[in-house]
Amino acid sequence: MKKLFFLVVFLLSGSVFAQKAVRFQSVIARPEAKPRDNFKAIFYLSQDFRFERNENMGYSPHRLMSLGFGLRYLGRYVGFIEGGSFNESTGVGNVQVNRKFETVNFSGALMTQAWGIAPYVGLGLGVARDTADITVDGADSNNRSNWEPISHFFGGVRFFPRTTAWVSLEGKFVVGPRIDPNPAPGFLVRLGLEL
Amino acid sequence: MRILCLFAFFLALVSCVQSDRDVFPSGPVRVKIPAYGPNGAYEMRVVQLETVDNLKVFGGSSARFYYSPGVEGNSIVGLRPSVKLGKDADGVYFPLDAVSLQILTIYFHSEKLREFDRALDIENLTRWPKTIVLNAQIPGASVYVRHNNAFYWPDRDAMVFVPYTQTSLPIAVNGGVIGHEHFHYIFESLVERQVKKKGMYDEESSTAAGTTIVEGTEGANSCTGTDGRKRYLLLLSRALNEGLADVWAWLYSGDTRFVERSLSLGAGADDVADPTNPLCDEFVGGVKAARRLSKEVDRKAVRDLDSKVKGKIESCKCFHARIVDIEAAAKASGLPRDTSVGLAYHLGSRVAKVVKQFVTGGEGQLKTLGLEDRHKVARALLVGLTKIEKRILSLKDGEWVEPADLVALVTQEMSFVSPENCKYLQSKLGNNERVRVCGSGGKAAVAE
Repeated sequence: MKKLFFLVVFLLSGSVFAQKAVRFQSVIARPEAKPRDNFKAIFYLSQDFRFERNENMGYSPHRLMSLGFGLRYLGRYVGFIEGGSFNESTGVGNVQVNRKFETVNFSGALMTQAWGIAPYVGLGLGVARDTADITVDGADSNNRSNWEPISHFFGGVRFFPRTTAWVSLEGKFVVGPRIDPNPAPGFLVRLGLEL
Repeated sequence: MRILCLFAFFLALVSCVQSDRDVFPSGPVRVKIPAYGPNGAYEMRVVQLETVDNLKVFGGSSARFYYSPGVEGNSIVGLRPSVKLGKDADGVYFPLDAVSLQILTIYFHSEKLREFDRALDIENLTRWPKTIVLNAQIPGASVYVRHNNAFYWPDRDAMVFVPYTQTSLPIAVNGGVIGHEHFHYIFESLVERQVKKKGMYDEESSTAAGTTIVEGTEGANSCTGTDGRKRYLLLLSRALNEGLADVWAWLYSGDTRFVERSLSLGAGADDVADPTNPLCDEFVGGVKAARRLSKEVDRKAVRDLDSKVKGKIESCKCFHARIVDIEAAAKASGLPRDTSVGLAYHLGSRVAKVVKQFVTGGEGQLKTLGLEDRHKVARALLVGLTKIEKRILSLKDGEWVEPADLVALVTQEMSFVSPENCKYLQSKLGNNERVRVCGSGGKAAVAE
């Protein structure tokens, strides 16, 4: 079932890209169009502060560092793929649990821009998994979950102090079967280049 | 763009809707927890939980959890903890943080203890699901209660775990300790409830004005009259409760070093026990006594006591005298009256050792008991408890009871133990002419 699910995701993603590619072809076929102006490559580094439940049953931000790249099309449409992870370590006595959360996401956003300020909203889909290295009384155990689907919804503002460099502030909700709370609120800061 | 939106919406929906199976399992679930293994150590093992009904706010028909709760009236109120779990390719859940790991482990032991009780036909003696309190904060309590401890709270019928700050196996992960605490439920039901109702205990924890403490050894070295009998009965009952709880813990878990795994001896306590000595053989439960005996006055009293009794179950006179000594010293030093509880732990540890040695081979080579054998011992112990209750309730005004006599009420039910072991038992219970110390198998050594 999961394999089928990911196959559908893959095919649909492909169809979207294919559609874009056809449009791109048609744009470059016209001499007056400047496809290089229509598409801009995006690279960024982001720091996500996601409020997950901690072991004291309160909420504290988990700092998820991500690296991403994507495209901005016609100044309005933004698509990007990013991967990130965070580590968390908890323990009591001679029990230690070292958790690693990893996620890969594909996101799309609608953006508008005026005077170097670009507000945007978007959503994204992806997968996430957890790895836990557990040590008890000196004995180690390594455990890894399957990749499981997650999604996220976000909105923010991107500032362009220079034409190629930007910084964005974003609010975000992450949704997933093992996200606690579900959805998990968070905010993030992105530093990026647009070429 | 429309396709993209539709696609996104579809997948968002999929990830939004948390699979029911992941929260409310319809059957057994497999989890990975630390458990006592066949090699005599704790290791991560995959076990099956049969009765879990919620994998998020973790609980089921065997246990319900509270995290740092408060008390309102007769109820425990507070946060029901959530657990963070991962699920591997084989469908086995594993904990993603240390609290989740402890919750899973306690639940596993609650189920196993229930199974153990069921095999002994006492499943309904205690209430299920168990109320488990984690990370209990007890302001104003002594340092021994605030940290590194677990206890049964009869008023709330709850098993309470306070924060663990040492560097060994956490108490909430220690199957032996959980089994030990579970036994207190059983002891409460089979022995203490009726005795308390009858008002036979002096449970005053601080030295109340007007409470008579017979100072000096003249008046205390006797087990006659009514002065101090209630206090004596309380501490004797506590000693049996703690000692037999250690036996139960061993019977349940098969682990003979369960106390040592979680609690290290404090500085200065090596006068009471050799920490390198396996607790199973020589000092089951002794660490608890050592931990409690933090004050010099207390340690000295136990040292004196040790030199006198040489591992025997001391006499009523001796135990009572020590209670009086310690409580008088505590009063003079401004210490709480409950300092004397250390004595109960100390006697309790000796009771545990004696019973265990009696069952597994006297002074000789210890044998490992299989589950069936352990059930057999546990059944005998339960019958012994009902006899202890009857014996205490039958005490007339001014009548006292010897500690060894109450221990004998348990051991005499163990007729399956080899007659040779009766000699060992007699050497520890003293020259007991009042009650039979062994079962029918040990008639040769029966004193009665």
